[in-house]
Amino acid sequence: MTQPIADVQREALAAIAAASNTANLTELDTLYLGRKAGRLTGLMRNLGTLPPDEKPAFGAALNEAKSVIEAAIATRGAELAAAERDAREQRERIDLTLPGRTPEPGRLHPLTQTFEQVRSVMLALGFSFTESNHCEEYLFNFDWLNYPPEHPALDEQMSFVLDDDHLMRTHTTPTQGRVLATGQNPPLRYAQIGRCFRRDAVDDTHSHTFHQVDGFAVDKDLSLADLKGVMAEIMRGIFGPEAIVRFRPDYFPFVEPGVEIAVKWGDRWLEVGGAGMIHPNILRRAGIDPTEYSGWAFGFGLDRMPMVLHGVDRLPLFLENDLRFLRQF
Amino acid sequence: MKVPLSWLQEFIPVPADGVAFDNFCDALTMAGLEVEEILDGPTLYTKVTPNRGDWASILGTAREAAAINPDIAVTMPAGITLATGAGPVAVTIDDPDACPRYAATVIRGVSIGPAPDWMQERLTQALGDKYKPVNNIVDITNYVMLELGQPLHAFDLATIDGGQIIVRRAKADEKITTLDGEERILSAQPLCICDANRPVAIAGIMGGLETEITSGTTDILLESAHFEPITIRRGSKALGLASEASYRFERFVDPNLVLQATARAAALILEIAGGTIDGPTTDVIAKAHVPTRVLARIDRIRRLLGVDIDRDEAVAALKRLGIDAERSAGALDCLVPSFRPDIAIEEDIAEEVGRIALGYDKLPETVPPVTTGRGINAPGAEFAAKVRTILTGLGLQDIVGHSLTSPETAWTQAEQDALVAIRNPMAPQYSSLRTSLFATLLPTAARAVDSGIRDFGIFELGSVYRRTDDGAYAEPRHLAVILAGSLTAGMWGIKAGLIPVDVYFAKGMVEHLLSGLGIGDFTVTQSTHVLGHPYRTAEVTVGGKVIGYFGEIRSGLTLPARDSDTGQLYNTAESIPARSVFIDLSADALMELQGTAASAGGYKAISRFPAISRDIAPVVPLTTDFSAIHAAIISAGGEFLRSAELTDLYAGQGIPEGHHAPTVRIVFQADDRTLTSAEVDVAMLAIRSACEACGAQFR
Repeated sequence: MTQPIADVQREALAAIAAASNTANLTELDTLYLGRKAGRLTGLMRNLGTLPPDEKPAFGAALNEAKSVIEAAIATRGAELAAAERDAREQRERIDLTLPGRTPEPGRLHPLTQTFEQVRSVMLALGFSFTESNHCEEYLFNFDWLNYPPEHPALDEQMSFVLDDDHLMRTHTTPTQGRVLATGQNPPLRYAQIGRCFRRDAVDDTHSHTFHQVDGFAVDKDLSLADLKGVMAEIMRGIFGPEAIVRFRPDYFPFVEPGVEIAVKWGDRWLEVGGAGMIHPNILRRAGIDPTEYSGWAFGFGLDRMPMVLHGVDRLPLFLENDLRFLRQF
Repeated sequence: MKVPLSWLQEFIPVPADGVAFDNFCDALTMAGLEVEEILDGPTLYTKVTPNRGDWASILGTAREAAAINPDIAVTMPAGITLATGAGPVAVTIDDPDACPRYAATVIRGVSIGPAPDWMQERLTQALGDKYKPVNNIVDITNYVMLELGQPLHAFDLATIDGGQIIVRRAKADEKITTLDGEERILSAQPLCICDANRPVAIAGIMGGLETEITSGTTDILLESAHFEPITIRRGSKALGLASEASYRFERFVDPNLVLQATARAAALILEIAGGTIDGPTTDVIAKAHVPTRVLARIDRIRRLLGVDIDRDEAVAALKRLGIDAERSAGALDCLVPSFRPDIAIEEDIAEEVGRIALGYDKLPETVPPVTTGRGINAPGAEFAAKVRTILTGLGLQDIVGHSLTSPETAWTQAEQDALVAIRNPMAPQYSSLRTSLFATLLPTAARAVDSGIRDFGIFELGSVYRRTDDGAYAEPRHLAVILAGSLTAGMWGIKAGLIPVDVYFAKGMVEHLLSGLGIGDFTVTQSTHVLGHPYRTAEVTVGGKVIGYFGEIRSGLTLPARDSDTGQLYNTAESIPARSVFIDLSADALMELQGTAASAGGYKAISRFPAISRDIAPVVPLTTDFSAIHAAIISAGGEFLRSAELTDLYAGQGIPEGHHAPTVRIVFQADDRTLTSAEVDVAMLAIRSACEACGAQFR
């Protein structure tokens, strides 16, 4: 009695196996399982003509065949769908070697990047930052800094003169006098990053316009060894953990003892700036007792630093602002 | 100072070459006397710091090397013993402060000729191009100056009137022709060396031509004196005349060298030029040198250096430096030698101990505790960082331009009036301070165009400089932007220049910047600017105050500047691409206004209910401002209107001449429920009539 069911099932499974695409499979689904004209559905109608004792077996056989065909369609369907997606995606292959597409991004100037790096290192070391004018008074550029009047040390700072009392500041060291003149009590720890000017001809390593950071601290028992420790922290923050700081004696009227700071980066010693213990004359001028407090101060150039870090061979490039140069940073 | 090695070796043993020589030089450098370079000879090129005039001699260099190295001792060259007393030439010092000591020695019967080769060779090594062989006597005085540091001068005795020397200030209008052939008119500066009738030398700077040693000279007067540094410096500055002698006197010459140098020079003269010394040397000490004493506490030295210095080592190092240090109850009583005027206070002794007894390479690194609390950034720097973040985020390149520029860049009368000029400029292109950021930003843009980059957005946040009415200097900070070409340039497959920059991009950036800075309502009204197209330039007003401008850069402008290399005048506006736009804002005003918006720092809840959006496209005359239409839409839109944004602006087919049609997307939303379509229809009807009331029609 169930022979016709077995025949339909065998035929259906063969057709499903032979289906070549999902549309084909949809047709087979309709052909065998379709609710109106499906071949298996047609056999279902024979159920009513059977003797009652054969009905259950016939019904079970029908359901069995239906689920076998459905499962075969699902399995084959999944196979065909995967194959069809693969084929479609293959046709969608693109040339990944074509260039990328983006508007020109905004970039920070390499000097800005240097300033911000130095600033963040020094903020972390407790320095508070101030700002003051580029047009500076002789009072703060020299007098406050213990420059003896009419001393050859002034010759080292060839300055741009504005009038009898003003000049373009030759260093950021006026920060000291500017802060100390406010009469703040120690402990103090201040810094400034900014632009300076000297009457220096422009060549590959010099410009009349350059940038410095100056920092100073006043507290009880600050020492030259403390200064070296802080300088080492700052330089490692800029040049990386391998950087080594070296002091050698040097002369600046506003410090005693005074030192030149050099940093070993790679296998080179780079002279980066000057430092030392704040001269007691300056502390006294600020109303701070130099027997009770001591201080140190340092200043270093910020233009040579990106030159070294990026291998730039001409210092004037930074302020020339050639976009072909700036777009490399 | 150029120190020929062979010369130095006459004073101290120095390894001739190799690693030992390099180490010798390094040790000098690390102790403070930097050997900058090794020149041919070999000759050590050292850096003499302004406080250490004593280093400007072979002797000073040798002394420093001996102080560093306990195994080295200085050998002094042979001199002769001079008698002092009333010599053949009388010496009068009128100004003991300016000339504390003057010694005159007469040598008769010398033969003038060239200096021996070995001496000329050394002088060439030490002075380079500055050495011009004169004759044996003059070369010997220079030789001794370089060797010991004491400048000397020799006069032809026959030309000295009255057999006397008077050291005095010049009288008004007195004249002297100096050895360089220049006639110089004197005043109260400088100090002069005079005979009975006239100045014969400018003290410490240069001798006179009339009294110089010539081939016919037989008798000479040898001068060796101590002059006070500021006197010589002032004289040198007043005359605009500097010399090897004035260089040394300005830096203080050891007063005890006066006789020592005379003896050395006399010995060389007798040996090389012959002659005999006539009578004693007249050595007038008008003001005796008082040695400096410094009391330095050991504890203080240790605290300043931050290291536990051994007292005996400190004393030994100071002794090697010629400082006689005696222990005195926890302190060192230091007697400073006359060649070290730089040592005056305890800290100076600490430095000597630190660099010689310890050596800075052995200085430990300690990080002191921060007792001042966290570091706080400067408000201006914090603000600048915020602005730069916003603008680089908008694709703009940060520019850092020069402050020094040419006065021709003060393009407006107001800027010319406020121009800050440099009194002693180096070149015309760097002779004043910029009054506007465009003075350097336009040249930057021009340079970009010349280098082939025509599409860019650049900005600078920086200072400009103004002389104020009361003569003070103001340094307001500005923010300037230039946009040129197209923002889609360089993106392949997108037609070049598809989206050219225009004034609305500038406006959008201003809006973003202000909103990013927390600055609230601002208005934009048509205005004028030196760069601006007269009908495409706006001023930006916040709280009744104009804070800046934006607009299209007008074509055909002449905005001159000088080329930074050549100094040639050129028109910075000439190569700027057409239709470029600019923004010019007061950064000071922005900084003051930042965070003042009512909404600044706040947050608005996001509705959970869906929004409904509708487009409206009123046709309006070109003369009707969009702001009027927009305001009408906002006010008629009712409580559920959330936004009304322009999405398109159409003119052309279907729109009457002289009109255009802005498409505005209007979004409605409620916070507590889903709006019905009918509610939105009602609002849209009201909006439509409001537009019509503004003169709009609908297609």
